This record gives sequence, structure tokens and C-alpha cells, in this order.
Amino acid sequence: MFGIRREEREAAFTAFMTSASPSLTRTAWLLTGNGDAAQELVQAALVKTYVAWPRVRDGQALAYARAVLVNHHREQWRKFGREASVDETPEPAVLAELRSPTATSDDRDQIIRLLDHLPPQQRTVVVLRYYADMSEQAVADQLGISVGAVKSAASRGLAALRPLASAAAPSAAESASTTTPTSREGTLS
Amino acid sequence: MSTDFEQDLRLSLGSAEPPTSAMPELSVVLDQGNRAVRRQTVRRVVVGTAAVAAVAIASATWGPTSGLKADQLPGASTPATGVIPLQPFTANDPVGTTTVAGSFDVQRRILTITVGGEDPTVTPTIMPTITVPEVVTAPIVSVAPGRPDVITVLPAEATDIDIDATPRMRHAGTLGAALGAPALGFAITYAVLSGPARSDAAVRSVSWTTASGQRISTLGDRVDPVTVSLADGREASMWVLDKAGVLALSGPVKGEFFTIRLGDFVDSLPLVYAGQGNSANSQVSWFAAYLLPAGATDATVTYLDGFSPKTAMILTPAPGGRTFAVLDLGATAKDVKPIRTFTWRDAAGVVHTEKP
Repeated sequence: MFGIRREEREAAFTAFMTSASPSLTRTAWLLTGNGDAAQELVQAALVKTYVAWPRVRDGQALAYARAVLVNHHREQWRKFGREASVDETPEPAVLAELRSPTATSDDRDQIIRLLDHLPPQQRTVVVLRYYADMSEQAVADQLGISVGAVKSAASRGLAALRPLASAAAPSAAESASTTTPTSREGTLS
Repeated sequence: MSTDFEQDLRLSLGSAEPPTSAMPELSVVLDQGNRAVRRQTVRRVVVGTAAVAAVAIASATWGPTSGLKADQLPGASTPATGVIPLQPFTANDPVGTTTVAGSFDVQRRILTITVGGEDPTVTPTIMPTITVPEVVTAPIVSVAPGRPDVITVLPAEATDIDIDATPRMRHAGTLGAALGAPALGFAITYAVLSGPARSDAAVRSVSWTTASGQRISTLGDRVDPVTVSLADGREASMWVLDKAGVLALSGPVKGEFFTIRLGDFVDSLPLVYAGQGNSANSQVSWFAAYLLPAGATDATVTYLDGFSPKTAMILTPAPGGRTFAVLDLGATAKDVKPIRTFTWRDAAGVVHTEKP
């Protein structure tokens, strides 16, 4: 009736969830920029994945869960409207600073503030392309849009992010002009 | 070709650290997942075996149409007797689209609400039944233990409904239009709690706007949580909303919540409330909880099979001078048994036996 016994399903899913939760949670957080919303999103995706577990192919569980997560996020956005925009402009930040070994979690939150400036579709494309490392074709398939639309959204997203990051880091930009190709920390473009 | 900026962006996105609170809990996911699987399974059993009988019973009880004529539906006319179906409506919760349906026993004024899933044919979860007064002037809240769904019965004229709950409500007042049974004098709303599906669906207040534009915001008898001492020395928080018919118990273990639908015995024994709750963690024992008259003692439970568990009885003063008894049924959600009788002794020494 279940396809597999409940104990077997729970055991296999527990192992999957343990390994996949960090990645899914980070994806959800990048998409929503909100801890509570990210938790809801990941939980909903995992529950649906659990229900569909007998149908999920080996090795494809993470991709399946991520697809559910992204679809659910898009559905939520369509139904409940635009996410709340931030009141304040992003704090000065450069991407290189964000990935500095000495950066604090607050510093890293700044990437969220940058992403908050993107429209939902651009944000989703940027996250899937540059965090989930999905191909343009895969993103297109996931979102049900053309590859051209993915390219356009990614391009526009990067174009929007670049000046935000650059303008916020004049000192880093200056240092970037003197760095070598093998030492790109601080380089924004 | 990948640019430096793209590479930096990849690294920055990869190093983003979501708050630890964003990580879902395994037990909650498994609990919700198994519940969803169970609903699917039940539906298959119904369809595959006793389909005719089950569907006949279901449609007669809570089917959305069940062969009724158009003038029997709410909004057209108010039948004097019989069980009528309510117009179903759909709402969106964090896990998907939910169909809210129900029926109303006009003569007994008993409202039965069911909450379904994405698949409208899936056997729905029945929310605690509500006895609706002739004239609804205060909100009545129905919370199913262990579920995030909250049903509210309001005056038919209510608009702009807002619900203040713990944990916070998601999309309160917008989930499910205030449909239901306007011709019957009340409206039904559906909302869902935000965050993990816990059992502490404690509705603190309900606000709405009347036809004249007046804003009303009250449950009428809000009681702040009180700390109760349990038999083993631990403490828990408890609050009771009489008009809402909700008793919530938080603790004693952190993260453990119980919401108990009161009023099961209200019709026959106005002073005794009873209900049963379970923890969000299915491994935790189920509890039966009773709100008894002041001075009540010796609360015991007997199962249908005659077994009387060695209950961890908890008697403590409750709001309103009453006595609150929680009995650990010694069973998890997996093997909880129906309760046959509940007995208690009042202040005068008279033993009362109730059959839930």
C-alpha cells in the first residue's frame, strides 16, 4: 500500500534529510531572505518529498526536493503577492568581503540584502544558476520558461547586483585594480 | 564565459549562512509526511474496498453536494431540519491547497468541518465539532490537536477578519473567504498557523468588522497563561479560552504542546470539559485533560478494552477556581486506545462516570 514499509521510508528519508537540509535551507533562505519563510518552505518541500519518496529515483532526491521547493516558492509568491521589500538600502558590502574567512554571519546576511533588490524571477534564476549551479537548460525546465528567458533574467540580475556591490565597496574596488589574476579577492567585475 | 563577478557571486551565495532556526525539524517533517501518506492510504482503502458504503456515509455526512437541491444550499434558504452540507471553499496553506468543507445539523446546531488536501477526493481530517448557538455574537474557534488548521465561526456579517494566535497565523483573514453559512447566521473562516505544525494553536483574539463598520476585537474571556505544577514537580503553562473552547498546555518538556478542544461534555455536563491532545512529537504520550469543578479528585480513565493505565494524574487549580486534571494515557499516537469511561469524584465525594 505504501510501496515501502514506513520504517524503511523513514530511515531512508532521515538519512536524506540529514544530508540535504543544509543545502535546501540555504536555497530557501536565499530565495526568501527570511528565516521563518525559509523554514516553512523547506518543511513543505521535505513533506512533499517524503510523500513522494517511493517515486523518487535514487540519486535524484535532492534535485526533486529542490524542484518542489522552488515550485512551492513560486506558487506562494503568485498567491500571496510580492515579498516585503526592505526599508533600508543594503549596507555597503562587497562580495569578496562576504566570503572572507573573517566575515561574520551578519556580514554574510548582506548577500540577502543584495538579493532583495531583485524581482522574484531574477532572484530565483540567480540562486539556481549561481548557488545550485544548475545549467541554463535545467533552470528553464525547472521554471517552465525558455532558455532565453533564463539568460535574460540572469544577465539582468547580475547587472543589477554588480553596481550595488561595486558602489558599496570603493576601497575594495581600488584594491582590485592592483590585484593579480591569481588573487581576485575584492574583485567585483 | 564565467566572469570574476560571477565567481565571487557563487562563493558568496555558497557561504551564506541561514539562521539555525530556518532548519526544519525531522520529527515535524516525518509527522506531517506520515499524516499525508495516511490520508492517501485511507482514500485508497475507501475506494478499493468499501467504496459504496463509505461514500454513502461520507456524502450523507459531509459531502459537498450529496444530492441536495440548490435551494437547500446555504445562501438560498434555511432549512428547518436535517444535516445540510456547507459550500466548500479552498484555501492555501504552506503545504498546498486545502479544501474546507462541512455540514451543519440544523436541529442540533452541530457544525462538522473537514479539512482536505490538494486532492479533493482524499479523505479529509475532521475538525472538532462545534455546537453553534442560535445567535453567534462571539467567535468560536476549533483547533484539531496536532494540526495547524484553525476554524473560526463568526457572525455572518463579519468582514476583515484577523486572528491573533500563538504561533502567529499565516495569511489570517485572507485564507478562505468568510463563506460557510450566511443564511444560517454564521460564517466560517479557515486559517493556518505559520511555521511547523505544532499543537499549540492557541487563538488569543479574533477581530472583525461588523456591517455597521464597527471593529470588534475580542474573544471575551481571554485568560493569560498560568503556571501549573504537575504531579512530578515539573511546571507547565496552561490557558483556557472558554468561549473559544480551547485549552492549551505548553510543556513541561520544551517544545511539547497540547491543544485540547473543550466542550465535548458541555451539553450534558456543563461543568466538565474534556478533550484529548497529543504532542507534535508522536513518540510522546497522549494525554487526556479534564477541567473539573473546584474540589474534584480521583480522576481516572478506563480504556475500551478494560485496561486502566497507571496515569500520571495531575490535579491543579485552574482558572476560574476549577480543577485541571491531565492524565497520561501511557500510549503514543501510534497505539492510543479509545477511552471508555472517565470517572472523577466531586467535592462532596460523589463519584461521576462519564463516557466520552
